[in-house]
Amino acid sequence: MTTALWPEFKVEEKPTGVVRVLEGAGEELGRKTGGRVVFRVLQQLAGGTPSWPFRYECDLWVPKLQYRYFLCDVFASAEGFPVRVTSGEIDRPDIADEAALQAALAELFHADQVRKIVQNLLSMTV
Amino acid sequence: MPRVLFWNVQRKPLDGLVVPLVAAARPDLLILVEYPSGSLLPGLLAADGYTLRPGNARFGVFARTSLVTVREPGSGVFERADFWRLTPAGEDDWLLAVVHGPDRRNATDGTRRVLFKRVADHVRSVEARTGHRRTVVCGDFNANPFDPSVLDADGLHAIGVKRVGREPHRGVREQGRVDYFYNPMWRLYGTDPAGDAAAATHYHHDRQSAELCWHMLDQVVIRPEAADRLAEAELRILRAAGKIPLVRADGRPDDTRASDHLPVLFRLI
Repeated sequence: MTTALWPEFKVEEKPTGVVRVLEGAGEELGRKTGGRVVFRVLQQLAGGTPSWPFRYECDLWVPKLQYRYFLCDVFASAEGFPVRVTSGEIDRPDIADEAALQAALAELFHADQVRKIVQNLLSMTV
Repeated sequence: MPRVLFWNVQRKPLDGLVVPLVAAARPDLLILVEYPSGSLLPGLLAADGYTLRPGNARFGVFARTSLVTVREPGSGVFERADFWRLTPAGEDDWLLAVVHGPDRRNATDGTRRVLFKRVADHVRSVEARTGHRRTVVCGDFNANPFDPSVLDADGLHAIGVKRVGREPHRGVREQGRVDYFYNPMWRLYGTDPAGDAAAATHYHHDRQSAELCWHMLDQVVIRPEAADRLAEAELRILRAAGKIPLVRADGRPDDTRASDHLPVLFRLI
């Protein structure tokens, strides 16, 4: 009979906070494009700055072409919020909560350049 | 008045950085050195009026539709260089040579000098044919402005002054009169007030007893007769692609997310 060496831990069933918002954004794009262009979140365990120890690299992924287009970085503090969203189009350095993060992402996704990129990627997968 | 942007992207899939870089800098000509296969930039930049011009696969040359580009005959014999005639609508045409010098780890400066001498000779022959010397050479030279391959009369022969005795050529012992290029990168080297001394386009520290750390490997040089037509105030090393930094917090090129080289932007007037 083995003896448990580790204590019990509380394991979240679903991601919370920053990750939940980002992954929600991904699901919506995948639905709207029929899975032809999806929004992916790659979690970086290291490589952030001291102020922002966590980095979530977000890209547009085109499965048919096995093609990745970097879209934005979301930097998070050790406590989760505040976060910073940096892309070619916007740089929002002090996002305090989930609602503000969703607003910043919506602004980014509606930017002309991003609309154009998604539309172009869609046209390449017809 | 063509604006030219060039960047060594190390064959990395950096489309997501190139698009905002182009949107912010709005060049008429984009040159990507070490252009990767699998890039979708031809499609992504088409909506902004850029088309990929067929040439040496080492370089991705994208031009606005309004800029006429003709690849010079004889370019195909060069593995690491390409030669283009640029004709902006209603303006003077230019000869542009794009160069990627052999890398510093695997090639000596003497090897780069052989290439640069061939490039200079070819430029001279094209200039003789076309009858003007509105010529620019740019790219990742993999050499500093003071390395013999760039500086010497038997290399590219690019020096840091616009005129030597008001002449577009200078006397060289045992060689007679020799034409040259003006290299404005001398002025740019180390002029970033917010950065380290000699902040340039590439950073490398090899733990040798003497280290430059910053290297100006990416350069543009121009014939002295046309030197005043390169807007020096607009010659810049770019450190961001739109809002995305291409450098780390310490100011060095962020080669994990981007390239170990920084892009260079210049304008011909």
